[in-house]
Amino acid sequence: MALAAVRNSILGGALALATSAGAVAPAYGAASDMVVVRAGTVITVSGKEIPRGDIVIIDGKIDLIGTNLEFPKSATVIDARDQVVMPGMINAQTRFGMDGFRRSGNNSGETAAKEIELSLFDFEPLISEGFVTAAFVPTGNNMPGRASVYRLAGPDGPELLNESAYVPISMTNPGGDKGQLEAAIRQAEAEIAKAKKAKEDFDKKQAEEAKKKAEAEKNGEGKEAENGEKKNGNGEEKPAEFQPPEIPGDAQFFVDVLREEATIPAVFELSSASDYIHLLDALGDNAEKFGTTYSFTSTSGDFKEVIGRLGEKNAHVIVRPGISFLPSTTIRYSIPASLVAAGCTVTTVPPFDAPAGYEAMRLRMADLIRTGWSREDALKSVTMNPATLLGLSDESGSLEKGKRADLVFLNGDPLDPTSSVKAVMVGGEMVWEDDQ
Amino acid sequence: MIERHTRRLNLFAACSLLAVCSVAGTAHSIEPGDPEPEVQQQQDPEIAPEVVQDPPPRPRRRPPEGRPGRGGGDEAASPEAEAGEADEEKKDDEAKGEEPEWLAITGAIVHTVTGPEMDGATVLCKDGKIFAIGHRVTVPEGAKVIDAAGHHVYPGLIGMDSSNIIGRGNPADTTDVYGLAGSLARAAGLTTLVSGNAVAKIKNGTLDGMIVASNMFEDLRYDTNQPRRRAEVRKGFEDARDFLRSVEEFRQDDDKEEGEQPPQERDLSREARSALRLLRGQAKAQAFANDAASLVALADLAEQYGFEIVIRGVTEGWTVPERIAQAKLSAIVVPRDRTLADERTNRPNGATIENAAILTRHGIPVAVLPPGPYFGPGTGIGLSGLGGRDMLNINMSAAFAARGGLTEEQAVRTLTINPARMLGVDHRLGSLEVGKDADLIITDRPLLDYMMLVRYSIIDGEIAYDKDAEGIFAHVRPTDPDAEHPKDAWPRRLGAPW
Repeated sequence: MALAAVRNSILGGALALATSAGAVAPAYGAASDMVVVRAGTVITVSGKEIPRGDIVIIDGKIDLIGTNLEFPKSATVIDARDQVVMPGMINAQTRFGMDGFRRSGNNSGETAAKEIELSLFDFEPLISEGFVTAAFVPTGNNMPGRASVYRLAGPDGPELLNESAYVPISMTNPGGDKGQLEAAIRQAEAEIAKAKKAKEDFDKKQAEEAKKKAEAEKNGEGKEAENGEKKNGNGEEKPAEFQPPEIPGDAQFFVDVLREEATIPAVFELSSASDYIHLLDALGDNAEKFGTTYSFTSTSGDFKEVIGRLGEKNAHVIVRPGISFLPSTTIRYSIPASLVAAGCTVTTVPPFDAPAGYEAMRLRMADLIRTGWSREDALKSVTMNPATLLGLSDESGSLEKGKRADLVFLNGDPLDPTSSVKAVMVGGEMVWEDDQ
Repeated sequence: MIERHTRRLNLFAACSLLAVCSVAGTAHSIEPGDPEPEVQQQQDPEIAPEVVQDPPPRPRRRPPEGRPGRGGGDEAASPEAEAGEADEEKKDDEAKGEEPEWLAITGAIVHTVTGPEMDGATVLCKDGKIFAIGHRVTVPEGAKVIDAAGHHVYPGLIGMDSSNIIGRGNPADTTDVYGLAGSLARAAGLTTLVSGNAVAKIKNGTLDGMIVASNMFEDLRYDTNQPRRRAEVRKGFEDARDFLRSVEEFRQDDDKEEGEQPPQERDLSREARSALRLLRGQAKAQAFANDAASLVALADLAEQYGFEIVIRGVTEGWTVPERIAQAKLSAIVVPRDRTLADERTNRPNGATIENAAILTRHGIPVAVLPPGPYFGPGTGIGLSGLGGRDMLNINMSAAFAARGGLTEEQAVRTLTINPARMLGVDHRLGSLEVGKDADLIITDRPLLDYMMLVRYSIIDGEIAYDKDAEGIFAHVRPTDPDAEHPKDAWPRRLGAPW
């Protein structure tokens, strides 16, 4: 009874006075793989924060979150009453640890995963700052290749979750990037035209053959049975199926986008407001097909000029946290707060792609909260929003029933600069603990 | 200063029709029967310095056949044809269902440059083009109105060379359309710049309609101290001329063999291909020359082969103006150039402030440039060196030319219609004429006044710079002296909190 009440209240988003005496759910028969985290505060991100919350984990997945729960003695209890627990953070765009080989041009058929040899990677700088999942982007200019999503640690070590999560397209140097993007679109249009022509030719040929057959039938009316046999034989031998011409790997994404069949988004990197104008210019009539996901590679205050327009389209924007100034002034300006106010979804990635950047991230976010960004939006921007962007929202991004138990344990509030990550749990198992 | 105009004049909005545009040199007017008061503007001030004023607007009515327009009756096109055109236009507008964008600048002293100066006139722009100029222009309902009483209106200035303001290469790919450099350039009165081999407007926040012209120049290197190079250039012109002759011969040859190919351009040398564009009139030559010997050599070359050259520098042009004028060359001069005379040279030499005036007196089209980022003559407008030194006072370069003997009108031409003609864009830019692009600046004093500040700059009928809205000069002689200065704004000032 009480358990049900707690469950309902969590689902309802409002934690009532959860004074349940506690109960053991009868369904937890095989409780040997049950883990219970008793936290000081549970930041669910999707719902309210739960003081003195308990998280019940079964088979690496969250089964229940509540207060004053009781559980079988066989359950492994992690006592973290002095700590804050939040979902594992997601780094939506990193090149950390990837080699410096830079390619240019359209390489959108490549993926970061092809370059990553896991045995050579040390993810500790990311994990120790609470990042459990990261999308790796190949190095290079223009369209270097697709982002690949990894879970950075786990019971069986790092794991590739999604080899192609999105296609980064640079527009930070319009002088070169515009031409490459336009060329990629032209190539895709040519491929589409080629496929269309091949289909037409095929149909024509089919029609001609059918005509011939019909004529042949007419001529040979006397031998109906024979013809009938032949026809059946032919039909089985040649299932007339159209084979579209093969599309080169690097053109595939653009072909899909132009046909409005793309399953993954393009992420356009912009370093200033002007780059957005150049991007629209380069995309021309196809702009809407390419979606509205952007990555601001700088904290330039002149983004103010286009944030209203991005908001109208409910864009998803990856930002580097940091205080901006309106151009040529000392007037402070918060890009994330303005984006949210305009109607955008914000994902935050570390201010720069190095361990110091990962360390600075929560501090920089705290700065932005002081200047107008809401705490809820800030927390979502490193958990739920990147999960949506990377297609992981079913299993990561918040603490809810059914999601994977990727937890970060901190000795204080995540947005308090003095707090630090003490431990990281992935799939119900501790994968990293602070030695000190 | 800006307000929504609410005067009712339904017919005007309903019957929007384009004025007949025409390139410089032909008179034009608004069609007869247009509710718009027919304000006719004469193109050439030397010939007809008057503007015909018309009575207030009347309801649109189809003019009877053969009836001349009220604007003066000297239109070339027949009213019948024009009325038909007007109806089509009306239908087009209705079909589109789009309201035209009107911008009216009222009460200003309008310097049309190619026409007369009009005190208290109205400039009416429609969809980025100048629609009417005159004293009794009726402002349609819903128009954005700038009350510019006591201000001056000029065509937007054209900078004949620039760096780091609009982008390099293709400006439409590389310009920072929200950049500070663009704001500074607009604050200086510039609306169009040459960068590399492209002419581009200094648009604010958009790339639409930015490029005006590109690939309009062929570089001509013909320095007197490089005889071999000069020989190559001459060879190129010879080859190009021979090529044109052989192409013509091939065309006229009646007994061609089957499959015989005409001469191919790709077989020509680079110099010859470049010369070919010049000989065909597809481009103008652009040369850099300061000393008299080089200028004369260029004049000879241009006369011999018959093509146009725009020369940058022209420091010693004043010593050989007859030769330059005879060869019909154009000059981009630097009135602030101070090349000292060489006392050992037994002829007039060195720079003089009278250069622009002397060249103009000989009929040579003159444009002006500031000394440039590296203080070499004619090296352009840039933000390098002392920030904005050259660009922010481009009007003073024309003022120096006026000090050297040009009239003020002629000096204004050196930044407007003259460069526009050199660039081959005078059908759109360089003066205030009906049908041209609505690129203009509204200044608080005459352009050549050293205290002049640009109040608004308008590009394609849209306000691209507003002194009050941008921090650069808002605090200097503010529109509203009681208004609080924008703190924290660039540039830093005394009393700023930081």
